Amino acid sequence: MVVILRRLGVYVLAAWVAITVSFLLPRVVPGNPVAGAVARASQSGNCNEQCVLAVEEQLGYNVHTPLWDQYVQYLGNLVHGDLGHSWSENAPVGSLILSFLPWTLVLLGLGTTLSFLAGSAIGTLVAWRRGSSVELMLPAATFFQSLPYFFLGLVIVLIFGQTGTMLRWFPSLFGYDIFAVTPGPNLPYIQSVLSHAILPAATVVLASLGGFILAIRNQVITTMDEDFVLVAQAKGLRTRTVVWYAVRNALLPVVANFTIAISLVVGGQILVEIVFNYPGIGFHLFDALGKLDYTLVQGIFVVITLVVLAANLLADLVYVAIDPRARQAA
Amino acid sequence: MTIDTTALAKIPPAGPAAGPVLQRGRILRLPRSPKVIAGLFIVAVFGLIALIGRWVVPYSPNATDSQNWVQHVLVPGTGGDSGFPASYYPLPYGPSAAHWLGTTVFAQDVWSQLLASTQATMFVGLLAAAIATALSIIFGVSAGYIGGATDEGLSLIANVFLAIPGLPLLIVLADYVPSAGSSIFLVAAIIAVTTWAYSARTLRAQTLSLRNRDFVEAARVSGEGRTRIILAEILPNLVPIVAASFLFTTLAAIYAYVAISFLGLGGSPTGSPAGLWNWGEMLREGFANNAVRGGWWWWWAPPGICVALLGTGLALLNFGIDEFINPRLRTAGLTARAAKKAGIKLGTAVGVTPVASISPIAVKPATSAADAVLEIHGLSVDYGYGAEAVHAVMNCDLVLRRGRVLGLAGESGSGKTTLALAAMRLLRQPAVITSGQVLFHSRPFTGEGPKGTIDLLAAGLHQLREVRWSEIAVVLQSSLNALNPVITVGAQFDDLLRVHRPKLSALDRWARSGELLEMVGMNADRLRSYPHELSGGMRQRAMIAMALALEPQVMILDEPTTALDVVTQREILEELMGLRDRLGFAALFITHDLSLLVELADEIAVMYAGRLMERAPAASLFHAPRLPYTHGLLNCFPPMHGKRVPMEGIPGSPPDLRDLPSGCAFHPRCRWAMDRCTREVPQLAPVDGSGREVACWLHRDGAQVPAELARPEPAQRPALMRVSEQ
Amino acid sequence: MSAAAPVLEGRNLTKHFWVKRGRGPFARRTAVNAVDNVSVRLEGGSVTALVGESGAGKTTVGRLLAKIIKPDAGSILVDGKPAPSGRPRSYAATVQMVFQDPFASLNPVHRIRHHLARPLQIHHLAAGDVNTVVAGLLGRVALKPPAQFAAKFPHELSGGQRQRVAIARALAVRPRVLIADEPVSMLDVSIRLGILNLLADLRDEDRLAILYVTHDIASARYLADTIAVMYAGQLVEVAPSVELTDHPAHPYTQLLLSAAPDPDRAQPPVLAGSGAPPSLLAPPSGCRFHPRCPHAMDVCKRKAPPNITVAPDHIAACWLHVDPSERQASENGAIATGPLEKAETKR
Repeated sequence: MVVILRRLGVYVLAAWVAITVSFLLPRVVPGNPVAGAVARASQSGNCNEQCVLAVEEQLGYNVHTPLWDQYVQYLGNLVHGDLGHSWSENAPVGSLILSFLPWTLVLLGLGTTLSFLAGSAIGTLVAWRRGSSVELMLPAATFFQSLPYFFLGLVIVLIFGQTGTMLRWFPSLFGYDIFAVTPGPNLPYIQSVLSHAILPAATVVLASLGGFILAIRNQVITTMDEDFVLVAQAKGLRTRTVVWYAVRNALLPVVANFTIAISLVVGGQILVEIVFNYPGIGFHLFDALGKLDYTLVQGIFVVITLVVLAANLLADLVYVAIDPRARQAA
Repeated sequence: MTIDTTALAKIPPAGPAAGPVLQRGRILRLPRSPKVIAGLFIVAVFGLIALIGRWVVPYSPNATDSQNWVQHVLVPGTGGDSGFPASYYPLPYGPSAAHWLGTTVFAQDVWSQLLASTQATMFVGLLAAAIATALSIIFGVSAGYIGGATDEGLSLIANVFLAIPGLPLLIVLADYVPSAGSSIFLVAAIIAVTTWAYSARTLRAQTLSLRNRDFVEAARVSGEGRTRIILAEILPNLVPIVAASFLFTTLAAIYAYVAISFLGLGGSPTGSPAGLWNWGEMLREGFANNAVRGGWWWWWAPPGICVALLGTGLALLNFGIDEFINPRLRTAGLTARAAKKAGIKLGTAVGVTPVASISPIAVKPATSAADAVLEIHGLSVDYGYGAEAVHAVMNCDLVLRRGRVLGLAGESGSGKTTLALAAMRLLRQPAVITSGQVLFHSRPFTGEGPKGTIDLLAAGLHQLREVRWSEIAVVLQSSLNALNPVITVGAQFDDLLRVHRPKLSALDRWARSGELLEMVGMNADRLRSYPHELSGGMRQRAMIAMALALEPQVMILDEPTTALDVVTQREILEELMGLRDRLGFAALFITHDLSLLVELADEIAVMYAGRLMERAPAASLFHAPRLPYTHGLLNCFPPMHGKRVPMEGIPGSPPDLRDLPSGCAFHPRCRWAMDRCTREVPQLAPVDGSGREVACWLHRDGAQVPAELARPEPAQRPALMRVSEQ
Repeated sequence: MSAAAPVLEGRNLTKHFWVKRGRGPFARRTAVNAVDNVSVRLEGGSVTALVGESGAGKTTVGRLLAKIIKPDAGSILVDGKPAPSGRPRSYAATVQMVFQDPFASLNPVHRIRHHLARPLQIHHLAAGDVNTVVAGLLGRVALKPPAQFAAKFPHELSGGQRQRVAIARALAVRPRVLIADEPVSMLDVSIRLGILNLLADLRDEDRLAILYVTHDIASARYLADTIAVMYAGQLVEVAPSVELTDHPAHPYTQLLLSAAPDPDRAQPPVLAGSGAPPSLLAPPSGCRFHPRCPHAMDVCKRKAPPNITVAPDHIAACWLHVDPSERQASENGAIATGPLEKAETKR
């Protein structure tokens, strides 16, 4: 338990660093980029005086209280879920993000899980059948893991997307058909959401699959040389049991290094959402960047960080669950 | 992007096989595999383009081609009689002779842009990687070497940076720093800040393991200062890891740069310095101007493919480094090709050592003794294939008799373990059994199990599985590694019983497992323990209990007590010999400790450099050795009683199997070596009419036998540790 | 034994360790009492063997004496005078160490010449030609031709040759004390005696004081003049080597001897005791050996035994060698109990 608490401490610290960076940046960087944003806010028709004031306060522009007081207030607001006010949408950032988040979380959860499972299976197969034709997967995996997520997204749109020019099999714009269906618990909406998720999810899976295949292949090969696998073979166990012995152990370092993987997938997915105009937080981050809506940018950054930290914590819990040595220490 | 650097974090284990990094003199030598060559080639091509690309472009990347000016297309629903004024939109040209990769919608030459943008892309990638690597070396090495509170603090910082997602942080940083876009140096610095932590953590772990290596302590003991230890002793050993980190970070930085340029945060070619394109910027322009919808793939696909190609090149180089760091990865793939070349069918069944079909040495007619349970005839084993093969075991004959203990003695590299595991077909790639015959005469103790004679080298996986463990069980030296660390001891018994005793219920299996543990003096509760919760002695007992679970006819004991303390060793041996008396299995006991073997074996075989050199009843071998090597070996164990006298041991070192001496492999260390010994390999043959055999020219053709090798045979007696004789 | 002060002496050394438990990011640390109140004296021209099972703390004692680690309590004396604090070069020039694993104790990226030349440079010992001195050192450990060996990398040498290089490195600074931590346990059987004989040469010809740390009591008997037996972080018996192996006084020594392989044995061995060493996280009360001791008495559980001189130069820390009446007296505090030291003589 102590150990999990220690990890939790690291994540709390990481969250605090991220929050502080997002607080300080608009206030300390030279050239005052915030001024432009506030000016835009007040000139854009959809942000009234109150709205402009809220933006100024959140970004520390034209505010004459000491920095420390601003910081305390910023943190206090965060605790209450108040991430400021977005001038471009004229809505509280918190509720905006709450509406974007499900899209991202579903895509992320689905993509990572599928990719991890498929990667484990293929990686194990490649390691186990060393020297057979399955090894041709390796150069392919290397190439695929070298493709930037968003570029793969563009290629997939071109080939399979309805906004592309080739097969036009699946929708490749937005999270659902915004013209034909009404959001809500109705069948056409659900069908539309599912069909729109196919290509973005496929992109995330394909782009992250190669990395998982290679990581797990290397670990399985290393583990297969361990004595306990030899003993499992000497015990006359079925091949699938022997494979399971190796894989169970090979997964440990992969899960322990999940931090880096999840960080990469999240980064990649932000860009995939942009390519597909998929209404998650990545797409809206891009949108907010374009509109110089710094309040929204700030809020989205904080929330993405929290999501990643939560995923890390989950990976830690999984690690503790699958490694008895860690369980004992934890 | 790669997440495949997990091997980097792996700390090489201590011990004689200590980290592969430590096995070689060169700091970093990439294996000459096709992968590495391809990687080097790709990276070199891109490097060249980066160096000269900007100056060999056919067109200026920003210039519009006025001669082939953009084609214009009428927007549907405008002009003509639509009532709207005619409106046109531009269309880019596809690839042509004038424009190899076509043009952009602004009639700029894509090929020129691609060439010109390589430089900035690679420059930012390399600069960011250089900064990040420098940061991570400073952080990682000082944290790892200094340790204590410094380590805690620095590690915490690295862990915090690692937990914050890199790209979002990068986006926010790049977004808020307005001058970032105009300076690729600033962009590189910001990217470095978001990518250094992973390498720092890896380097810290590696430094930590190096710091406790004996050679660092030795330098400290000799009075070396801290700075010099870090610079001259530790850093050179980190070079492979640093190189891998650098490549990994370069890759990560290029992706990051392309990503933020795609978002429009990486500076624009119209900013300063002017005309500085990068691949991400090209992708952004294409995406922003509907190149995907328009199907103008030539515009945005080339930069994306370039990123992927460069990434593949760097990843391939990284494989080379990974294989240098972790040589286990290297044999993968290469072996299959080498085997094919040598004409050996590897087959697809993993867990079965292949038997070469090429030129089998004529197998001696099997003169099966009535009480033989395991017979090995003319067994030869190679590691590797064809010309590279190392002959680890050569033409060995061995007969294990029912209910007896056969000792197999030899030093490291003598092939004793290889011989035993080859008989079970348990050796892994790149081992090949090149010749021989292994006959198992099965007379199961239990009603189940195969009966009659089985040729193990001809058996398939299915047949082997029936014999393995149920009739021939194996106990290895290190029981820590022999037990699966992530499941309980009980589950490992259960796996075994479920396969071989399918009729037992789960409860019965549990009860039986408990009985077995109690048989070796352990509490049945230990079934619930994980291997790491048991001491070394307990794990070895559990392993022995497991080996006995199916009442095998043969136990192969490979240095079962070497890793244990003497008291535990003695307890376990007593237990084992008692069980042998009770259950009647035969044992092949492999060890380097001849003095121990004399106490417990009925018969002893001595191996040297892959060959069996002497075989005799234990007491005969001890009191009247016939082989110079055995004689020397027996003189390597100082006695526990009597007057202390200087002893000589054996001069020289055991030979390297890759470079064996001619003739008898022992001749350079033999005090009685004759001319003939340097030329001809002696074969195992009976000597003085008794049941013992020796492979030595001193006992052939009337040679003068030294007095030391001609002591009279002692009276036979049972091995000391045998409680009763059958 | 000479009356003069020993070259190197450790008095009442005590060391607690923090051991890591668990793995990966989930490691945790716990204190272990590795060495408890141990005193050793190393005389010039003599080999002292420190014998015990793994975890007995024998390696820790060696490292404490080499000042690789700092003791939590106790002192180190050179020629009877307290050694300077820290690890100054003068100390490095007096006390040198040979490590267990010759595959790990040489830096793989440096040639043999570097390993031998560095100590010379650090201590300004090679006024003339470094190569000549290096060649001399290699010749001293019988690696010939020296020039050829000096140019090699460690991986080009066999285990025995590497261990010889490690010894040559230790000799480079012309030390007076050599601490050899299991110098042969990782070597092949056939080359062990060569290394042991080299150490014996160094004792006889160079008058080195050698601490030979080992788990192999037979090799200790062969090489050492004095054997000290450690159990669970404490010394339990010290005696001249033949005396100790022929007439062991402490039950633990008797157990060790009964367990050691001995082909000359006429009868099957009878193990004098059983079980495994205790966890040092919570060592047993009184005599630490009492849970395994076949002769354990009541007093053993309650009170640590005193050091008894059972024969000249032969000391054992065991209640068996105390008269029953005195046992009672000691329980009332009449007999001082303390670390095993030769100076302390009773009876």
